[in-house]
Amino acid sequence: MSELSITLKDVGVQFDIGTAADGHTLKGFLANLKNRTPRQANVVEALRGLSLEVKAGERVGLIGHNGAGKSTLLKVMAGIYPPTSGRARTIGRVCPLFEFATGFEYNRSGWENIRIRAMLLGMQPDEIEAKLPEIASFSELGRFLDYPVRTYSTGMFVRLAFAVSTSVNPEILLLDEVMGAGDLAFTEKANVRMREFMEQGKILVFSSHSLDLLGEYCNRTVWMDHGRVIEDGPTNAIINAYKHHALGRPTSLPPNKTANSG
Amino acid sequence: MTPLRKLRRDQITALKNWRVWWHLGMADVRNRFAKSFVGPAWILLNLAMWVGGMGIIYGTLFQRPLDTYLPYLTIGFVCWGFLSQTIIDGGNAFVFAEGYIKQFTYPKQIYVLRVIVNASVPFAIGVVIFFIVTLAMGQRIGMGMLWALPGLALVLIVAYLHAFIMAYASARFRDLPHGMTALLQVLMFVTPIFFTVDTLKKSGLDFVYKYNPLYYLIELMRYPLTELKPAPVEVYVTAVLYMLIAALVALFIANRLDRRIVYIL
Repeated sequence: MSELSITLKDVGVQFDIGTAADGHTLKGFLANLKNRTPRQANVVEALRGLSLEVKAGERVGLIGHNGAGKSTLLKVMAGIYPPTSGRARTIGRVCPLFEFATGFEYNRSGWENIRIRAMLLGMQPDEIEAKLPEIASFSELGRFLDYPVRTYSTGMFVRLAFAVSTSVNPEILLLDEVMGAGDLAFTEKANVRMREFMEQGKILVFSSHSLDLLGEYCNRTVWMDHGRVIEDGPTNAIINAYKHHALGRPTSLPPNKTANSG
Repeated sequence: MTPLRKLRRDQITALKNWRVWWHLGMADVRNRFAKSFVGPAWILLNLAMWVGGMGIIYGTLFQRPLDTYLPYLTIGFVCWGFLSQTIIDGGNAFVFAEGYIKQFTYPKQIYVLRVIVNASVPFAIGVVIFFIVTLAMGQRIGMGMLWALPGLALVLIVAYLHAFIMAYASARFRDLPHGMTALLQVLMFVTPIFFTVDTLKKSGLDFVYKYNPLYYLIELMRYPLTELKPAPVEVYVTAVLYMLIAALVALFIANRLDRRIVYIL
């Protein structure tokens, strides 16, 4: 098998929100007849001609404002969003860990959701049954695993999803702003697991607003804005430049302050 | 990679990972009857009530002897249920799986196959009930019924194609599942399920079944199971032709929409 890698060449992603907006309902259609305003093509460019190469062993952080395209970029890397222009190629077993509002069966128990998620991440049923106790104990959800997940808090979703995703032994781990939601004890556990993962020379791409976590996990950071790469380089240098830009303050902030630029 | 090559690769990956869609589909069945006292036995009760109620009324209305009419009605209704459920649920296959499609990298086809698994459970129970009704009515059971097996294979493939087309098209046109639900309600009373083709011929309404592909799909299994011999050649020819057309439509629509699904959900 070839070496793990992620290669993006001139990748563009456009969302056509015209199809989703109200112009496409009967109500909206009738309203438009009355107003007779010409309908514009409603296109959002989430990524514009973005090129990026990630090699085995690299741990890449993504920073940028909300809406800079970080999540979209991660989904392109995962193969979930096919680029609307350019080319994307990811070699390796990908394990995505994205938004938590979706992708759960709300009326089913935590156990059942673990099984389903593990299956969708490519685990075989016997493998899942063998790993269930370990996943359950890592999540520390205890008796809550017997309850339907609609009763869960955000932090509990994160525990469940993180426990499953990291147990599938991924080669490429894509994390989208997830570590923040767990409580202190869990974050500590998650850190340990992240370090184990990082020691195995696999690829990590991690988007976060927590500059602390970026500094801890990532040896390289990409600063994005408006779907483009602004700067790409060693984490420390990029974080400093980003802080300077985002906070409009000198870069000599205490290193353990977390910047939440929103 | 061209869209068609990607589709072929995805389809093969999806079929190989049968455990995933099998599990999802069976979990859907269990979930549908969660917290219900009677549970999946509702499938059985529901069918028994239909066949009992409709069978006696319509049998009398169409002046058909119940011993042949009840088995005929049961298997026709069961096949119809499978075909219509896969069409309607197919329309929601991608819409309901949005959370999965946007988070996991499996080919989308597993969510279509999940629909087929889900609908197969009442279908299988229904076929068992058909045999019970057939025995109870003192009708013959014989080797000729095995002709229903090639029919079943065709029905499964066509149902998959239906669900596939509906899944893609409904993600783009959200009115489609509503429209199909309305259309299928009408079609159920127009397709020969409660009455026979002879009744239609007598009234000069031949066109009602002749141009109705669902009639041929039902006949693929109903004819061998009630007549103990292969269905007329034109049934097979029409069904195979229809399958090929459905496959072409499915390819065409997936070729156009496959890359866009995740964006329009």
